[in-house]
Amino acid sequence: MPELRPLKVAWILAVASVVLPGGFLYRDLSPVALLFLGGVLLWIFLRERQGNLRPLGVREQVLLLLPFLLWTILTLRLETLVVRFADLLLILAGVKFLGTRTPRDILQIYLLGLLLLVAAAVWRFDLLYGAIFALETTLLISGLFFLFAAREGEKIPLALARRLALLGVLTTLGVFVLTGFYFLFLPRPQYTLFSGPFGSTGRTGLSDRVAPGEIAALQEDPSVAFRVRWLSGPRPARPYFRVYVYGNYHRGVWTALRKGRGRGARSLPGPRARVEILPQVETRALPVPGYPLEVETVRGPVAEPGPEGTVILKREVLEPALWRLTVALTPFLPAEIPPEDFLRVPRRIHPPLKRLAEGLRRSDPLQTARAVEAFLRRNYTYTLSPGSPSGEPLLWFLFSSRRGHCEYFATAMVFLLRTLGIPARVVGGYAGGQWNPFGGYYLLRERDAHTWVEVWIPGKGWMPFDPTPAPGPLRPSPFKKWRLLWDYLQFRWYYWVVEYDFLKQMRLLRHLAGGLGSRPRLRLNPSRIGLPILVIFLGLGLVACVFFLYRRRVTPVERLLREFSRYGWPRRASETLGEYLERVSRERPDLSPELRTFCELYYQEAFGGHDTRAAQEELLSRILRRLRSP
Amino acid sequence: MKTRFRVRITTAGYLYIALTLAVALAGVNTGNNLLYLCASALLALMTLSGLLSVINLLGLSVRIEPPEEIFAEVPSPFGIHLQARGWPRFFLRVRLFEGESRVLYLRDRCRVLLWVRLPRRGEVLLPPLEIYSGYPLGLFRRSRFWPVGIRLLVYPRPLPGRVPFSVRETVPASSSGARFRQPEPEEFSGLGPYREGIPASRIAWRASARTGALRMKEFEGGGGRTLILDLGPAPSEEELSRATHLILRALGEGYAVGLRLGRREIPPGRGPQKRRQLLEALAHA
Repeated sequence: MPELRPLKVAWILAVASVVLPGGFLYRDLSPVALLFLGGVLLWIFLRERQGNLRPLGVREQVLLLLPFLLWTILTLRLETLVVRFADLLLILAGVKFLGTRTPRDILQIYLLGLLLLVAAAVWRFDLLYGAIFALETTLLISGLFFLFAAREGEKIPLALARRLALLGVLTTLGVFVLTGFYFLFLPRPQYTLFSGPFGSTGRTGLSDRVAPGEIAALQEDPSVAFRVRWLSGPRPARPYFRVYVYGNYHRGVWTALRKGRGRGARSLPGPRARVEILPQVETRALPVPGYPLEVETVRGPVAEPGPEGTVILKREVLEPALWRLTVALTPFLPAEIPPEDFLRVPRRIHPPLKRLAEGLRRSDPLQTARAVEAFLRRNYTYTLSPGSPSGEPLLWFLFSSRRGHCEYFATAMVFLLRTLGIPARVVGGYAGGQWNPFGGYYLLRERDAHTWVEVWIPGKGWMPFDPTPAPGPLRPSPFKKWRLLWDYLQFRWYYWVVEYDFLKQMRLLRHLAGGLGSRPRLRLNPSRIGLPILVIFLGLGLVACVFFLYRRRVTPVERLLREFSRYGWPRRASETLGEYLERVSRERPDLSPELRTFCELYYQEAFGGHDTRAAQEELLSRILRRLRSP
Repeated sequence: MKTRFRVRITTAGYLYIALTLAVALAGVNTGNNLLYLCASALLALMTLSGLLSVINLLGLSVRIEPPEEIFAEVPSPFGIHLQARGWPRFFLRVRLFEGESRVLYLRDRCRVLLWVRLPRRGEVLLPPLEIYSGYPLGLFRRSRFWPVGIRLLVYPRPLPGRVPFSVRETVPASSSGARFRQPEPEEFSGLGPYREGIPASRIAWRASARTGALRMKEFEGGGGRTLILDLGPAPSEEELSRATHLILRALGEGYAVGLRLGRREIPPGRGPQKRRQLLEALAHA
């Protein structure tokens, strides 16, 4: 009977359970730890091939670990505490790999792998963590199955090992289901005792400072900055998400208004929309698609209305956060600071602009603004790399290069209008974004960061204008749909796992309680239920496949014995198959030739190594037919 | 048969629980949902591990087959018949007293042999049979107990050596007179299970091979040499042990053996019936 050493399988799985989270965190971990682990594994591989691997004793392991321990202590800082801890875990695992391979040692390696996964949870929140979590769980559970088998016996039959592997996978599936249940329903407190610095993934390309001349070339960064989930209300075709209003221009630099609270105008015309904002970057202000009427902080630093229809945060957001806003989608925004404050033009650029601006003056501010916008769009070219300006950046753009990015265009329009006595200001935020139909949200990437202009139209309010000509059409990506799907999965991961909190739990429980208490209303939307049904069917199909592949097939001999026993001919414990069939043949002489042949076929299979299973099946069917026939 | 369960946490289990609590506490303290996720997974595995360990011990039926003769402090083979209904069972351990055996995989039915050493002679009520397993992960050890409810008579421990009581040996005139020489037994009475103290020449090898258990040829008859043991009214444990050994040896060599125990007197004889009678008398003494 072929046999297998479960300890060997458990050891291989233990190595994988350390390498997997280690590989996942390779960007964050120290190269020393990674190199050490890689070197150890390579050394073990080469030594095992040569067949002269000698395990290190405990004293040797401690001596090997000691310098790394000292290095960890010496380089320990509060902000890198978790990372250093993960480094140490990786090194410890490497040292353990070099030691003996008893079940106890392997159990300790599993523990190190698990701790690495837990450590990764402190600073990696993306969907990839979910994938690693699933894989690591599978490895650990399967490994623990084999480790337990190794404690029970040095070698186990291969058939038993296969069953254990299958059980490991099935248990893992069960663990996933139960994990989801516990995660959703385990009571969680509304407030945490302390909140660690769970670092986010990046810094937004948008800042409270805009300096057109300082940036020679912008980069198209596709990383996600925000997700804005559209809960209710009409959705604009190309929304502008306002983040900062830049009021002051000094020596070529715009700075955002930070002081002052919004007056919270509630009587604005226009439809209302309700949105949820999930940040992916470190930020101090939120993108708002209109004018904010209500700001609710669900999780994260408190958000409050800022100056001129912006929403600012009390502190920079570092941890997973979520806000809910009610906004007015109005074409004109109310003024909070007197519009006259947005008329200042630096002295050194006023005279050169005067002549150009006068040529664009029309009968009223609205017409003038439209003329300036059209002038800039027609006569100037949009580029991400305008080069370094010589002298005043704005004058260089308007009269020399005639090429620039959005900051040049917005600055030019603002000062042309201000020169004509029309209040105008630069606004920074995100334009357009990408609508994700799977999740019902706008995906705002770094490359969507944009600046545009708001012009004061007397009697109406601040009206947005975008003087930046549209860049060339983007090439449609063949993977766009898949990317959107991936982002949707990321969003779901963030929404239901990373951002899941007390309030969501309460809402879910209330929803379930409502569903149980009231008569269910059948509102099936085929497009919404299609995917879950497909997933359920695929899952059931998979389970059925596994069942049919691994089900224990009853052999013809077992079937014959079972059937004959029902007819009153049980086999005695002392009888061989031949003796038994001979006895049955004496009682049913008509079956004698078939039974003798059957016995012969069985012996050929059992002791001769011939595959006679099909012939046995066929003959058994014949015997049973004859037995049943009166 | 009413059974009961018991669970014991292993060292690895304690470590696992501590880790789960630590991760859960970290999750609650920091509000980090991924730590919650890890804690949930650890908890889920703990739950499933407990559930699987119960399922592994459910649907089992047990039948105990005690040996024909049990001597105190001598390992005796107890046959345990296990039958599993429905699903397969993994890594079971069967225990009775300190006798323990393991079953790696049980799909339908199997028989395991437990070598049980009972400590004292006399009537013994067998303790519950324990089947336990650390399956699936070894974090917990779950046991299930089957009350056996079998009363057994344990014979004194056979102890070789000089006998401290009087032994009367009578030899027929035709015999040469040598002590304990093998005489020719008179009458073959059938096959019986192997018993302690029987010479290997009496083993019926063919029948043993067919049945899978040692069988021996039984003889009966009252002729030949006779040995009568007189133990007095209150024999000590050592005397009983030595008497047991002597009886087994004498019967094995074809003697007709008799016993005097205070007022009780058992006339000399051979064969399994006589052997049982003699040993029972010693066990109850």
